[in-house]
Amino acid sequence: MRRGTVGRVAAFLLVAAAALSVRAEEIPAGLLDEHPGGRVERARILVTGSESMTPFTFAIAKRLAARWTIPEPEIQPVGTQAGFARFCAGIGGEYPDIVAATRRIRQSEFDRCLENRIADIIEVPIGFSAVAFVGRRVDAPVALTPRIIYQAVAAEVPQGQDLVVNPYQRWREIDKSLPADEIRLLLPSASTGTHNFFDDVFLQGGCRKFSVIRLTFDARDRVRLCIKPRSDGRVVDLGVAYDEILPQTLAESPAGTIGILPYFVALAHQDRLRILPVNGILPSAETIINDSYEGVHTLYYYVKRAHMRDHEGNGVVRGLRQFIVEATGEEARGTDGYLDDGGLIPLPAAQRLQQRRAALRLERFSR
Amino acid sequence: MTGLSRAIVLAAAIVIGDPAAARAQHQPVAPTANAAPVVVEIDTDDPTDDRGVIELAGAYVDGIWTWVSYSFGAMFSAVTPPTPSAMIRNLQEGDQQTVFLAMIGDAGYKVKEIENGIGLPPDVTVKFGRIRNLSDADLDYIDRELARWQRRDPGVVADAQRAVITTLVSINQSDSYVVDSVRLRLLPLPQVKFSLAPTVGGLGWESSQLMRAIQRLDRRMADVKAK
Repeated sequence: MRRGTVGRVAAFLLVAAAALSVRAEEIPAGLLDEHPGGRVERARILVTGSESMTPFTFAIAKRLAARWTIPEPEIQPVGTQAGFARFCAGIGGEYPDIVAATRRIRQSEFDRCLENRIADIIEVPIGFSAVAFVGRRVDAPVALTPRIIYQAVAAEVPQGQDLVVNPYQRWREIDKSLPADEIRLLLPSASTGTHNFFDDVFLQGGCRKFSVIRLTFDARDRVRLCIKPRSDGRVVDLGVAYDEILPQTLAESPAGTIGILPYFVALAHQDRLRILPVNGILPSAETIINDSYEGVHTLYYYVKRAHMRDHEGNGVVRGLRQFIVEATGEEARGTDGYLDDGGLIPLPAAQRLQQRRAALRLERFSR
Repeated sequence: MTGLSRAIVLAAAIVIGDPAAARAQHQPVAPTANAAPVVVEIDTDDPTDDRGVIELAGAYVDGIWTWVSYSFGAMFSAVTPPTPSAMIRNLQEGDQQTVFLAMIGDAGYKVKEIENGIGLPPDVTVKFGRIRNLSDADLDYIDRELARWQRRDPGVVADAQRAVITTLVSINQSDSYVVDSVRLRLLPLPQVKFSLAPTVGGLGWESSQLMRAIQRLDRRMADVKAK
């Protein structure tokens, strides 16, 4: 009996010691030191950036407030590009501390940060997100490529060395292997992140290889030619509540209708909707993680180190280190983490560990 | 260090590795013949894609080398490194060189001329001219393709080639300079040269006059169109 108790106590102590050593290794000494005497310019962390990342940021903010007794961060969703513009505008209480982004910071944005003396940025990748093309389950599947999508959607399409008003009425007219159903696409409102992603990856991606487009010098002209949708009723803007109304609208639409949804929403409606392959590849955890599926984007937080408090506790805002600890924790972005509910696809385990260590060391981002 | 200055320093330091060229360097070398530079100029407005242009230039250079071989005997085919035309054909094959060229194309450049110095060692230089500027989506696409390439081929040669693409893109994103042309020398030693041009050029008096004339013409055409 006594031996059993001693054994249990020893086992508990070993487990506790192991847990403490993991924690000690994961969170560098001094990272989370509290400085009650310090002075801060702003009470709450200000997060700006991607609208589609708002559910993730909100979940992290709630946990942050509960776990670390830090005032819940203020979230200003303005889109990734506008978010970077605000983030890189300067240092001080009036500028955001964190930007949530559905893509990596661009060189021009980073240069803008450097111009404004924001050199210390910490990049925190949290995982992947994807969009899926869906059709009705009862219809023949349409094997899509960015080129086919562009030819189905654009107002004008290349024919030889000219651009002509989109003549395609049926999928088969674009490619003989496609069904003879009429072309019809349901798209989210142009103000949404999903629509912007669709424009960038599928429309610009589809038209990029046409020589008549490649020989257009000005990017603005090319973008206009690539993303301007046809106006003959074959492309329908469903408005902002798109994710909710698309499954029902699509189910009631004629054969050949296709929509685009966040991957996790598409998974939830597989009883009625069929997820379509792009370039012959269906979205799945595997094809998203290995980047073989086209409609994938990596989600990031960028944290401004200059807004963290110094060793005396003075700075712009309290809690940025805790935000990094929370956002990179396994509870949040690990397999079955709480961000999984919002459709986050976790990074591979080794990459998660490596990037958490880099983020907790407050490693400076560079390009 | 800003993105631009970093890019310029990097550009100065980069020497591209090319497996075919490296193989060529290990071949026995014959006595030097007189070098006769041949420049194949290509109309950049020609809608033919780069592959067609390379084939065209390859055929042209092939012709010259046939003449050289005929004139100087079989010695050349026996002892010289791969001919420039073989090098040019190599550009089209499915190795990393082709990935590199495709990425230069994605970065907004197109083969403009292929310069071939006949002699020993032979000299082959491919010149790319800028044919378009890039949209934000193009930049994201290049970033993603570079990352995919890095995963497929993390080697040193590919890494140097990726550095060339990154340099091109980062210089072009600066406000003050663009890379007007890229000279990619394949033989005798691989090398890349960038020609930088100011985005707002300090034009001479004649140029200003010409520009004003063009603007006047442009306004007149707009007026005619409006009427």
